[in-house]
Amino acid sequence: MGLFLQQLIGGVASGSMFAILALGIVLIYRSTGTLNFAQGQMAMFSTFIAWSAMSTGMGFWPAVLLTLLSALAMGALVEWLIVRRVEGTSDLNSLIVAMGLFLIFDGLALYVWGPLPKSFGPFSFFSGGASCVGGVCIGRLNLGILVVSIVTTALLYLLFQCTRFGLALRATALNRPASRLVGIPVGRMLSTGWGLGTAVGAIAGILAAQSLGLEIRTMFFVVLFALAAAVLGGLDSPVGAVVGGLIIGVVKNLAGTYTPSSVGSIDLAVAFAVIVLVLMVRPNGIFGRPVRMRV
Amino acid sequence: MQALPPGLKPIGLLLLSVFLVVFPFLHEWPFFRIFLGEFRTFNATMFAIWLLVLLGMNLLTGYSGQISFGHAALVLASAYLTAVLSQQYAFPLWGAIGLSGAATAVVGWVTIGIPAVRLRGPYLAIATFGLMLAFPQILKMNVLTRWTQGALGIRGGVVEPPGFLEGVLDGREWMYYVAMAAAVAMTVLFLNLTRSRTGRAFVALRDSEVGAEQMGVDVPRYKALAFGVSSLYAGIGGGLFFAVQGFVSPDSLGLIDSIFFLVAIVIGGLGSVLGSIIAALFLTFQSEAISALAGFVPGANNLRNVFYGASLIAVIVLFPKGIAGFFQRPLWPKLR
Amino acid sequence: MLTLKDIHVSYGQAPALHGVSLEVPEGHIVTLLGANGSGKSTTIHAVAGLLPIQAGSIDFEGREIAGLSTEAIVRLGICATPEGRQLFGEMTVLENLRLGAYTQGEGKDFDEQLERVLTYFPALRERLELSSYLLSGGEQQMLVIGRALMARPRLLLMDEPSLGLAPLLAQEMFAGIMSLSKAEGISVLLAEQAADLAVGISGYGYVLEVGKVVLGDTARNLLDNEEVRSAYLGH
Ligand SMILES: Nc1ncnc2c1ncn2[C@@H]1O[C@H](COP(=O)(O)OP(=O)(O)O)[C@@H](O)[C@H]1O
Ligand SMILES: [Mg+2]
Repeated sequence: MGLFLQQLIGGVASGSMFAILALGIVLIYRSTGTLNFAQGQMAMFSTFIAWSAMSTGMGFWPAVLLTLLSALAMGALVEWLIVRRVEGTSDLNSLIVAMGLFLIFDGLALYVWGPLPKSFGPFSFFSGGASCVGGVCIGRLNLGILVVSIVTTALLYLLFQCTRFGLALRATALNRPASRLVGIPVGRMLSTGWGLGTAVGAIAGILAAQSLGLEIRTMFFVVLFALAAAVLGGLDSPVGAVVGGLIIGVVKNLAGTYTPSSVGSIDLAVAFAVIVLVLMVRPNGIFGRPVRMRV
Repeated sequence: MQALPPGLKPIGLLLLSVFLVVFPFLHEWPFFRIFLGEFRTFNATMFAIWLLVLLGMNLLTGYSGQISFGHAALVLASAYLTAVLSQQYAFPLWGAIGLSGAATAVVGWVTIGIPAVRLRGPYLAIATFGLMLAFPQILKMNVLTRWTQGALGIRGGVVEPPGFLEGVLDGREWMYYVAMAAAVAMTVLFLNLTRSRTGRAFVALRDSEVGAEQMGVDVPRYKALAFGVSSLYAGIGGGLFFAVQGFVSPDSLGLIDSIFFLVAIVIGGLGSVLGSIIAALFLTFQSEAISALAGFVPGANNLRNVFYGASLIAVIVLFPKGIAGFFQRPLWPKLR
Repeated sequence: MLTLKDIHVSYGQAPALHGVSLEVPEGHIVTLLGANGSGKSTTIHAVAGLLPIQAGSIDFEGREIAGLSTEAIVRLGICATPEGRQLFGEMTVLENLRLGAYTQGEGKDFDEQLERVLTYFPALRERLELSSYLLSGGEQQMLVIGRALMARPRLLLMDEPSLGLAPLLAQEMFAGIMSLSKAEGISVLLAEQAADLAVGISGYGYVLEVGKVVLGDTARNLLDNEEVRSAYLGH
């Protein structure tokens, strides 16, 4: 039981990181209908920006702030410059563009920062002794990840539910012609959606690098868990992304703990299995809207 | 080839056949020696294999409008099946390749193609992306090492030409003929397929899914079938891949290869055989070309993916028919 | 107030409007009559800035508005209630109204304006926290109009507001539109297919056929015109 609880908490912590990466994917998907397969590579790229900032002597939090701002700009720019060219043409085109972005960010990072892993954390906020309550402990790294994820999610919730700007962002995702008719600058909202999604991805990237280290492929596999989370929650549901992320985190950890070593590691296979299972049983996920049939 | 005057077409085909037949020996001739090494025979063999894989991928994406980020996993699966059958169960190599191709086709049709028809939007892409990332891990699982030998991969023997050709051809040349013959045969099959009833349905799908529906094409059925045929091509390609490389491991092909397949067919030309041929040339020579470029442009090696990504986007936005689109008349006869 | 001169609009290669001219004077209700597919919605979309026009001019209070973004047009005081309502279905009634006021900011003017709109549509008051897709058809139409009013428009473009409403309800709605227009001094361009009621509250009307205005006359004359009566007014 102790082990179970322990693994549960660990799962929730890493799940919270999948959750916010998934949240970024969902924000972008809602804004332009593009499933951003480049999310992981863009997050990795942003994390490298943080690394560069810090290697010039900048402190951790200022570097994070700088990274978030540049991620926001980067995402918005990508939507404005590239994604908008194929908007509304076909799913195939937008997926191909997403793969193009994947390659571009992958290559740019390789060109700028090279193939060698960088040491990036864990920073003081994420390191230190474990905290225990009633015999169940949570390591400082996990605690830090959990706290950052919760704060991120809460801030996004406030933005979307309690501000006029967030209201307009939600409106744009729901009904574009109507949004234009009430005077919302829809183009700017779409760019903002990408910007926010990219910035949230950057946070996930920084968190992931605390435990995995930083290199070109850091987010390669993390993205799969985030995708599984997003599919599980329902691709267009932010709440679903968070819940899905937590579930995936826990399932991944428990599967890792209780799979006999004679089987070997199966975390990626589990994520894949979750995706397949959801698509077979409930393609819109737990919280997703049914896909509207196009005429 | 359609661009040729009718009288020249047979001559063109004859010249092409002669070229393909003598290719492995061209480098022995003074003029060609300058730019053809023995290594080129291996290149040409790989070209044949990529052509098979990309024809299949093009059928899937260019004709039926479905996207798969997991095509390299299908190729890998078939390579493994061929390896296991031939190395551990003593199947004759060619039988193993055929069987693997058929098995891959069935798997692609029944377990991916048919369920995939229900999926709209990006779900198929997500599922195949997941398959691609998870598959190497599955191959490495301890429970399977009895067959897969885990991360080490499976080694095959050197393929020797049959007895009556001993002394005439070496193993590399023999593999070239086998792979090229398979590629040519399956290209012809592809062309014939697109002229058949089934093929007309595919062509209708390529031109417009809605239009195909209005013409009475059973769209879901043909989309699933496209996945099956596409998997057959991937499967044959995968089997030959093992035979030619003499080795396969969980990391022989990965996500990046699937993405490169996509880059290749989009740049070559979606929905076109010529596009697939250009795509296969691209895939065969891209890494050499980039290395050569790196000789002039420092860092070109590292910028490779940026270049491909940008080209992918530029082609989709500006010339959705790819390079093949620049050849005025389609390689296809107009079907009506 | 609003003057369209010879506007041309096409969807890709297919022309939809070829030379539509009409005028909406300040404070008036003008009806745009036309069969399904005649180009009423296209006209409204063109004025609202949702569609680019290929030729012609759209003048609003002495200003050329063709080519402006929808956002800019809303800020100038033109709001549209689209065909088929187009509410933000999963949002509450209040959120829909807040979105209506998007161009106005949300100061204390907002509360004032909300009060005003709710006095016109008291039924919405009890439903403020309800998801808007749960409203009845009549209530949804009220909400669309209310949403448009939140932006304090001086010109309302209404695309078939009676669509899907029971005749009695439609009658009530047109009466509401008329009193609203009087009280607030709002001009209205009203597109309708089956339009006795619409013409009844208008001062002037135009008849649109296959992308062209074929007739423009006072409401009284339109009501007396045999051809118009049989084609659009249902007697
Ligand atoms: N989105 C569109 N794409 C192509 N053609 C359209 C589109 N919308 C309307 N049309 C065409 O434009 C013409 C006018 O349509 P519309 O303005 O909707 O008419 P109305 O509102 O009077 O019913 C019709 O012939 C219609 O088929
Ligand atoms: Mg209409």
